[in-house]
Parts: sequence; structure tokens; C-alpha cells
Amino acid sequence: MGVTRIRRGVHVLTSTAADGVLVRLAAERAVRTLGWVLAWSPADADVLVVCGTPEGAEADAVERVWQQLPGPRARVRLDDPQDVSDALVAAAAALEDRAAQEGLAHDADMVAQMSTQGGEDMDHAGMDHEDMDHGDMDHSGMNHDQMDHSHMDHGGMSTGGPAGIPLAEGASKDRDDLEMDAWHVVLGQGLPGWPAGLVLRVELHGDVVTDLLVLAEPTPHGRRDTPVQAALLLDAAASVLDLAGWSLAASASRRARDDVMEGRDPAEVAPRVERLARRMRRSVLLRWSLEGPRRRTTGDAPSAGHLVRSRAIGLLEAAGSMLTAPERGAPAQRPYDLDDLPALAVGQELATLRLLVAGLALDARVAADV
Amino acid sequence: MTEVVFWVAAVVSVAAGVAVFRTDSMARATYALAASFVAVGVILLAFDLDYLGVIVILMMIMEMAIMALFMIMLMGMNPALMPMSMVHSKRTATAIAVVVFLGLATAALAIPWPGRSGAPAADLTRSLGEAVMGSKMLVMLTISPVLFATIVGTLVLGHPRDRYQRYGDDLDRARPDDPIEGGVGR
Amino acid sequence: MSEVTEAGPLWAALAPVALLALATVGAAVAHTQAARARGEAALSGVGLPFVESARLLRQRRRVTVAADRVLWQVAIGGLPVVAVLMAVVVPVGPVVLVDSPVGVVWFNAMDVMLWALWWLAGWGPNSAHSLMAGHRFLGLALAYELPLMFALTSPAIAAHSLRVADLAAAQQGLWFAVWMPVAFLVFLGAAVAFASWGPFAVAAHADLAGGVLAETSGVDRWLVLVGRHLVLAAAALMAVPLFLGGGAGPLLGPVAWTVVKAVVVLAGLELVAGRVPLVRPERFAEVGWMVLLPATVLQMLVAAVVALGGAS
Repeated sequence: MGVTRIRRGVHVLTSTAADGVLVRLAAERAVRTLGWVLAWSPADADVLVVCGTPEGAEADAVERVWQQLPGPRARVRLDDPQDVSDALVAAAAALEDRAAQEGLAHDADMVAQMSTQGGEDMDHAGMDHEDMDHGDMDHSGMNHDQMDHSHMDHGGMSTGGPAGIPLAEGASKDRDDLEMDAWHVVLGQGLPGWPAGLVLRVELHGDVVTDLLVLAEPTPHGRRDTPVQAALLLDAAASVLDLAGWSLAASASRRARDDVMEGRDPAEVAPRVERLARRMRRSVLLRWSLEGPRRRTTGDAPSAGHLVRSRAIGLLEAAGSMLTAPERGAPAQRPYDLDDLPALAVGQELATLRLLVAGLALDARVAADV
Repeated sequence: MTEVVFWVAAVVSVAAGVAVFRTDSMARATYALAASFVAVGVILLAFDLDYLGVIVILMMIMEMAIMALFMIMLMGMNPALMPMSMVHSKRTATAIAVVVFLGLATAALAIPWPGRSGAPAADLTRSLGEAVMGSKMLVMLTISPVLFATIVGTLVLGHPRDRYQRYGDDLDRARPDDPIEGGVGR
Repeated sequence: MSEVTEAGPLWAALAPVALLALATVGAAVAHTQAARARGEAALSGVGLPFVESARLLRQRRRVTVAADRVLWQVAIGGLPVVAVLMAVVVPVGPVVLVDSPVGVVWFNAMDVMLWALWWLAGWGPNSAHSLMAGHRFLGLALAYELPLMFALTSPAIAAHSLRVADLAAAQQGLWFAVWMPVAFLVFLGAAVAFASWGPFAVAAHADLAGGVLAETSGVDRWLVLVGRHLVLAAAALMAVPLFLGGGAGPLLGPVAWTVVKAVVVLAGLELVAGRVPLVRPERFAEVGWMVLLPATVLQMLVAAVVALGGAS
């Protein structure tokens, strides 16, 4: 691999199964050292890295995400963190393979053609096509179907819209006293900073969340070594920071995470993490943007933005203290849980829900916590 | 050159105007209307009415961008997102359109328009400003606040969330009860 | 009236290329900052705009189901076009492409065009995330546009003209940026906002999976990304005659000074990306209407009083 020059700036999308979290960390580290970039959506990606072994509906979702990569594209599936670098280099080579890419482009055209036909056949009981293209088992967050496709939910309203996409349904009044049409979006694999194994079905009025259903919940894994656990917390903090728009801080958190995973002396990394936590705590703009202009008084119920901010700082502080004093283990902190998500997110914008989910740090959740 | 610009813009404005009613999508109808207005703005520019032309483009794009949202938000049952006809009450509308067109066309052709009796000012923007604000200053100073107050008043009356809802019946809440807190906290 | 000459058609053909060159400098600055944050060597980001361009130009276009292709393409192709149209009224030294007597209003009209383009870029692909991002941009636009209009008006009042060259000439003694700091800062902030960049990148951000970029790939994505840097470059160029004395400066000559000032402003605009969190439109609305709007109106009052004092 040392002989050929490896392309720079390749965009990589990761899709992570329940058993693939540590592989993802290794993959993201390799992406960074190669000078590559993490993609924000399938349309942005050249390489799809499937970490772990997706099963059942999850495997379908991965397939769907793969179909949405524009191409030239390459896909690698990884089980072992050791294989990551070689596999990525091979993927970069596959991007240059003209014959293979032409074949993939042909496949993509076939799929696109079928999905258009599926839309036209819709009115003539085209349920087969429907299940294939717009099925409710769609776990990819990035699918083009805006509306809800499960016919049971529609009651009397089953008129097909364009391309077989059903119309949104009328809904009761929302937080602003508006009677908007509700639409449903399934959030899952393919979104940046999304935890492995979680699938949410969200009902929206515009971009305001009005209902939330957990379709699939990640299974927590066994207890891990302290440095690994600290790295996972740093990873979760980076996700929150990325979604909050503070990407330089997110990069700093990811670098600390990678240094820990590379086996760097934790005592060396810890001060950087603590400095980052301090910067976050001091940032007036972060507080104002997430929490609003006022400081919370003790009587108030915590708002979603408040929880996200304190959680993100908490993640960094926990990681810092685990790195300084590994023997103490993970400090217990969990300002909110997956069960609290509907109560916190309903009435908020979808972007806030994304921050709340990232703040859950589900990839770092261990079985004993549950 | 001016004539070429005029005719191209004129054809575009009429064609885009027709497209407003021929297209089957709310978004396309709205932006076809915007394109029509932009073409009208270009015609004004070709007449050397720089300020008016640019302002027409500016205001109409802004207005249509917001109108598209209202079209989609308020249509109900979501037809805004699906193909639908942009015309209704066809017969009445056709009758009115034909009568109005004939009337205006007759007027345009029949009225003995006066010939040009002076030369355009060197700085048309300045003379426009003086025409509007010079001798009519008192009128403008009266009308503008009244118009502005009407807009604000309508919004205040029409908005479902008034200050009593936000600050309580006695307006004694320390902070407003808003679904999402604003950036200043008022 | 200050003397500027309108450039010939040859220069008009060259202008988009020149603006693209300026935008490339801006993109290189932004990429360098991001690459350094990822831990790459100090100057490795300089080449990234070219690497990224090559990547996107050989990528296939993604087609979504029931997309509104026409409006989508209008938005994608419109971004670079509007950026160039923004820049045509800006004099570079003694030369300007269009010596419009209402250049300031023209610039304003072009930035309003971006309202339509960002929303259409969100509408086109028929995707939930893109549509929400387009809507969200308009929410932000309603908050920044009026302060921006008043920020553009203040220098025009002080110079008694809407012609951009007159504005530059009116700052012989003191730059407008010095005695109109509010208008200057609002202009810079609004430039970041209408380019949907940095803390105001609401139309294209990770929290909505890239927003209007969520479904865009290949040459389409390239045009949007390049269009964004072009808009920033055009705004930086406009800041020079509006607030920074135009081409005035010792030794170098007016063309060089215009370019130098524009590059400095552009670098500042590009470097804001990633340094601060995203400003959420629902929070910013109150700031725009209740803080920035009165502040810019007061700024305009100051400019008007000074202008009247100078006239009498």
C-alpha cells in the first residue's frame, strides 16, 4: 500500500450495527489519518463503511443507504478494528476501478428505474413495488419518502400523491395553535452522529416534533475498559458538538478520542479534554443558542436545550476524570434517558431532537447502567 | 439594444404569467409569478428607471419567497405538495379576464396620449425621491405611519398568542410563557 | 461624482473567473482551518478545494423520487450566477463592470434573490431534511434582512448617493467602518447569513443531515458549494467600497488595495466557520428585530445627522 498514492479527501459514511461501535471508532480514526472526511449524508459519500454485522431490518436499511450513494462508490464491511486501514485503502482503489464503477452505475440506474415505476403503479394496487421502495421497514434516515407509507395509519385518506407518495394527514393543533398537516420521518442509519441500532419514527408539523416512537432500541453491551469507555464518551461529545455547529471543538474531541484509542498515555490526553470542557462551559454563545438568554433558576423544569448543554459538558468532564483517575471508573451521570425522549422532544424542532439523541451517548451505554 | 431587452423581457413576463396558471404545482406557480415580476423589473431597468426596476425585483422576490410558504402551509390537506389545478371558477374568471383585457386594450389604443414635453432628469432616482417626498411630504408623513400602524395592528389583533397569554392575565409573569424562548427573552 | 470607467465586454467575460479565483482563496482558507483541526499538516488544506472539485465533478448526480427537477436546477445554477451579479456593481480600483446609479440597491436585490434560491434548493429534491432546512433559512432571513437593509443605507446616506463608486470616494477622510461600526458588523454578519455559512449555516448543516445538501451530489453539489464561496467573496468585495474606503491606500495602487482588503475580509468571513456554535433561527429572530433593527436605525440617524451637518 505504500507504493501507490492514496487519494485525499474521500468522503466516508459509516453505518454501524450493534456490535460495530468499536470498529466505527477505528474506521473514523483511519479516515482522519488518511486525510479523508466523514460524510453528512449518503449523497455526500464515496465510501460506505459498514461496521459490525447488521441483521434483519437493519441489513435492509444498510442496503438502502448503499443505493443512495451517488457513485463512484465503494462499500466495505468490517468486523475487526485491525482490518480497517487496509480495507479503506482497498475501497479507495475500488473507486478508481472503471469497469466495476460502470457496473455499479448500471445497478443504480436499474434501481432508480424501478422506483419510478413503483410510483406509477401505485394506484393499481402496486403494493409490491410499494413495499420495496417505500416500505415502512425503511430504517434509513435519509430516504426520500417524506410521508408516512404505512397504509394502516391513513384511515380514510389513501389518495396517492406524486410518485405514489401518500398525502400527509390533517392533525390537531400544535404548540403554536396551528392546524398543520402531520408528516412522518423515520430517523436511523445514515445520519451524522446517530447511535448504532436506534430507529425513531417522528411525527412532524413542519419541523416541530409532535410525536415520537422508538422503533428499535440499541442493545447495551458489556462493561468495557476505562480508556475505551472514555473514548466513547469523547465520541458522543464530538457528535453533540458537530450537531451544535461547533465543528472545531468536535474535531478536538475526536482527536482526543483517537489518541486514547491509539494507546496514548491517558494522563497526557486528560488535560486537553478538561480544557475543552472548560471552553464549552465558558462559551456564552453555546449557552445562549441552546438554552436561551436566561439562566435557569432552581424551580424551573429543565428544558431540552439545557439538558443537551449540561450533558455535553458532562460527557467531556466524565471522560476527563476517567482518563486522570482510571481506577475510579465511570462517574454516574445521566440527566435524561431514552424513555424521557418523547417528553423532552415533543414541541421542539427536529434539530433539537437530534441534539437530544446525540446527548444520550447510546453508543457508550453499558449494560449495568440500564 | 433597449428594444431587444424590452421585447425579450415582455415575452418572458407574459409567458411566465401564463405558466402561473398552467403549472400544477404551488411552488412552480409562485416562482413563475416571481419570474414574471422580475421580467417587469427588467423592463423598467431598460427604461432607465433604475431605482424602480431594482426595487420591483427586490420586493417581488422577497414577497414570493414568503408567499410560497403560506401557499404550502395554509392549503390544508396538503395539496400544496401534490399536483393540482391552479384555476377555479373558470367561466367567471374567463369572462372577467376578457372584459378587463378588452377594456384596457381599448383604453390604451383609444386614449390620445400626450406627447413627451420635456427631457428626463439627469438623476432619475433623485427626481423620483423629490417627486414623492418634496411637495407631497405632508401626505407621505401622514400615510406611512397610518399604513404601518394598520399592518402592525392587524398582526397584533390577528395573532392567536397575545401578551395576556404570554405574560398572564395581570401581565405579571417575570418571563413570557413561550413554546420556545426567544434570544432576548422578551 | 467620482470617476470610474465601465469595463468592456472582454473584462465582463473575465469577471466570473476573477471572482472564482477570489472564492478559491476563501475556500482554501476554510479548508485549511478544518484540516488543521483534524490534525493534518499546516498547509495541507490549501489544495483541498481542488481535490474536492475533482471529486465532485466526477461524481454522479443523485436523482430522488418525485423531485422538482426544474426548480431544483434553478436554485443550484442560480447561486453562482447571483454571486457574480452581486459583484458586477463593485468598482475594482478605477474600473467597474456596471456603473449603476443604484448599485447599493442592486446588491440588496441580489442578496434577496438568495432567499428564493436557498428555499428552492430545499424544495427541489423532495426530501424531508432539505425542505426543513429551506424553511429554516427563510426564518433566519426574516430576522437579518431588515437590519442589513439599514446597514446598507447608512453609508449611502453619508455619501449622498446609491452609486457604489461614490460611496468609496466619500471616505477620503475616514472609513465608514470606523464611524459606522454597527452598520459594518451587521453587514458582515448578514453576509455570513445569506451565504448560509458558519454560525448561520442553517440551510446546510449537520443537524438536518446537510439540509439542502442532503440529497445533492456531483456537479450539483459542486455548484452549491462553489456558489456559497462566491457569495462570500462577492460580499467581501462589496465591503471594500461600502465601508473600507475602496481602493484608497498608500503605495500599492487602487486595484491592489481593493483586492488586499477584500481578501482580508473574506478570510475573516471564512474563518468564522466551525469556531462558534450554530445560531438557531428561533433565537436569532428576537435579536434581529429587537436589538439589531433599532441599532441599525440609530446608526442611520447618526449617518443622516453627520451628512446634514456636512451639507450645510
